[in-house]
Amino acid sequence: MRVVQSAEDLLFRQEARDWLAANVPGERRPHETGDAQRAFDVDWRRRQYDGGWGHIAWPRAYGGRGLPVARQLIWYEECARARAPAYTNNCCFVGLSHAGPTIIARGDDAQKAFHLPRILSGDAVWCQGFSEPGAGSDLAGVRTRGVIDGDSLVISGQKIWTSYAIYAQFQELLIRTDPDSTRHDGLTFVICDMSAPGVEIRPIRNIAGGSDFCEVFYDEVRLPLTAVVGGVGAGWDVAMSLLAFERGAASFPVAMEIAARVEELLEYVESKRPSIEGAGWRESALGARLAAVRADAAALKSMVYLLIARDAGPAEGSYVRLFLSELEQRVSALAMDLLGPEGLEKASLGGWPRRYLDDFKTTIAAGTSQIQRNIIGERILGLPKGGARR
Amino acid sequence: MIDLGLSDDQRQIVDGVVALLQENCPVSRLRPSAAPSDVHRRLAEWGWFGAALPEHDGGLGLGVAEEVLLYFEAGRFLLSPSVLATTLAARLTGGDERKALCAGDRRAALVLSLGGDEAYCIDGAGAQVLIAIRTDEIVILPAEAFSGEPVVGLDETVALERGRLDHGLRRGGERTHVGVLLGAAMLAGVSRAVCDLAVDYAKVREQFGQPIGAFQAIKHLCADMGLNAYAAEAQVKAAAAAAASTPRDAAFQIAAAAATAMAAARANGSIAIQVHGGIGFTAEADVHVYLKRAHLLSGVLGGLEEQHRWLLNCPPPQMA
Repeated sequence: MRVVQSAEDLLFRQEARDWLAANVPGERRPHETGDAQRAFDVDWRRRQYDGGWGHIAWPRAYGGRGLPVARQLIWYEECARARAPAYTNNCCFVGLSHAGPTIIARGDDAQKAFHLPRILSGDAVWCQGFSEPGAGSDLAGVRTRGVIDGDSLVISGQKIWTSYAIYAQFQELLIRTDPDSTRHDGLTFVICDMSAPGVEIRPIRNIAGGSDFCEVFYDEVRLPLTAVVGGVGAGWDVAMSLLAFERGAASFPVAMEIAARVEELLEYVESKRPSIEGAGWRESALGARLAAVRADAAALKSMVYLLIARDAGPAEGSYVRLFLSELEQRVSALAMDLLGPEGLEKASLGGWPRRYLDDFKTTIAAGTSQIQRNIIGERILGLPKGGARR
Repeated sequence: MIDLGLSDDQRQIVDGVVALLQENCPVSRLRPSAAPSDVHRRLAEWGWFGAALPEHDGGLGLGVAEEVLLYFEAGRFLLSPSVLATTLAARLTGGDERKALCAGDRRAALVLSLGGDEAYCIDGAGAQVLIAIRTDEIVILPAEAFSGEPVVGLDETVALERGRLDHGLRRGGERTHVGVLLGAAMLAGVSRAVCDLAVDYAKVREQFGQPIGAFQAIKHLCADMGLNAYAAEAQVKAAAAAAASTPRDAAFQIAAAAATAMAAARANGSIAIQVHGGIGFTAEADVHVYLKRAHLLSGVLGGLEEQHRWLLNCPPPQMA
């Protein structure tokens, strides 16, 4: 229980701050789905990579800096402070936050050597292929099938809710390779080349107006068996380690961003004070909500530190994920109320109304809040499993 | 970053204090039928009141981080707010007075201003010293400064008096947030303990042929309690680390800790009663005491609104 801040940490922080001051793009990320948006995300990734900031904690052999998690957190914190492009609303996020860590943990040497540097440099964009029309929260219901044919896997079926599929070269694809299997057995995790013949992508327009979120169809898509991660039949286990990254370390940069976003709202209220609620806005109901989210944002960062310190297994990431996703929604809902009538225009105040809509995804993606509460109840608190179909 | 792990020494301190409290302060001692016990004397013998004071003053020479760990357990075991008052009084005094407070020969009690000269005093019997906690200061007064009459308190496990404080509560106490920090630690402990109590109940109480905790309606209430307790513990520990080593950020982190812990204790106390069902509405079950204690401790710290106001006036932390 102590603040750890070595002289090297301070130097690193200053180095990060200086680099960000000179390199954070001045223009905003295009909000329309399309080539310009993809280019913006990839350019920012490339610039970080070329500047030596591709990844702070990944091993040097794969293009990272091989530094401890404390430095990683400093980097995220400085990115948030510099209002650098957001980590999650960015098509490089899937590769950085879960495909990459999963390959580091479960991939073979060839997969590591090929994919990891490409993820860091922005040369390869990734997407996730887990959910299906019949397998959402109940992920073990996956039915997209893969048939082994010589040294290939031939895949047919459908995935859905695949963010960034239209931008991606590669996909984390979970399929059923044993046709006689049910539930968790008989699944395989394979890296799908999105340019392979038989892959068809159909964008879905979402409630915020974007269409980077897609359905993906597979019609006898042939992938090499060398693209399987963790072995044929080990897919559930690999998928669970991926979800542990998605619910754990993927939250770290977002926690830093939320705290910075709350400060942005405070600055806005401070500057608008005469027109909002008179000089006494701190005493108002909106002031109380601002204070509450400021406390929550501080607590979220502290929860990240506690998660790291306790190192108590993957389920605890659900505490951070659940708190984070519900806090994001509280913050953007508060922004709407602070904006008043200007909340009726999506672009107001740098796009908060658009974010308000987009944030409805946070309690659905990476496992709904209800699934996170099941995990907390059963795997952390030790409550008995419920439901008739287990 | 903030390392929220415990050192081996800190772990030993927690184990020691939990053993002490389990033996001397089971929550069952608060039931109306229980025999009175002198917890204060046992705590003094352990060294509780001078935990963060130098050894030559009768203290244990620990730091504020360790003291926060103690007070988390104090919250879990529902120790009287007078324990907190005595720790704070020992911090603010010196010489023989400090030694007597550390040794348990003199005691302090908390007063809570109602505005003007009016105030409550909590568990004031036997106290020679009074302590009032304000967000950024602690005021110390002689016991004679308060005169009041017993009233029926929300939390019946403490004695509440309502009366007058001579001259009211003027500023001019010690400028420190440590009272709020330790109080927030107690609230975090309350939120953890009442979560554990309700979760244990949900594992054994059966309806419709299975433990009620198997039903999502109950499981999700329990998950919310677990989340609240986790958030409160995390932020209290981060505030303790800031208080120990980054004073510039301490006010922000402590106000955030108090706000988070107040909300967590209040919410968990309420949810836990619901999870207990009919039993939760009885005086016989322990669960209601945690909710009442959440209110008492929040009141002592000036309430959630006061912490929110304070937090809005703090600059953002330099580093987290």
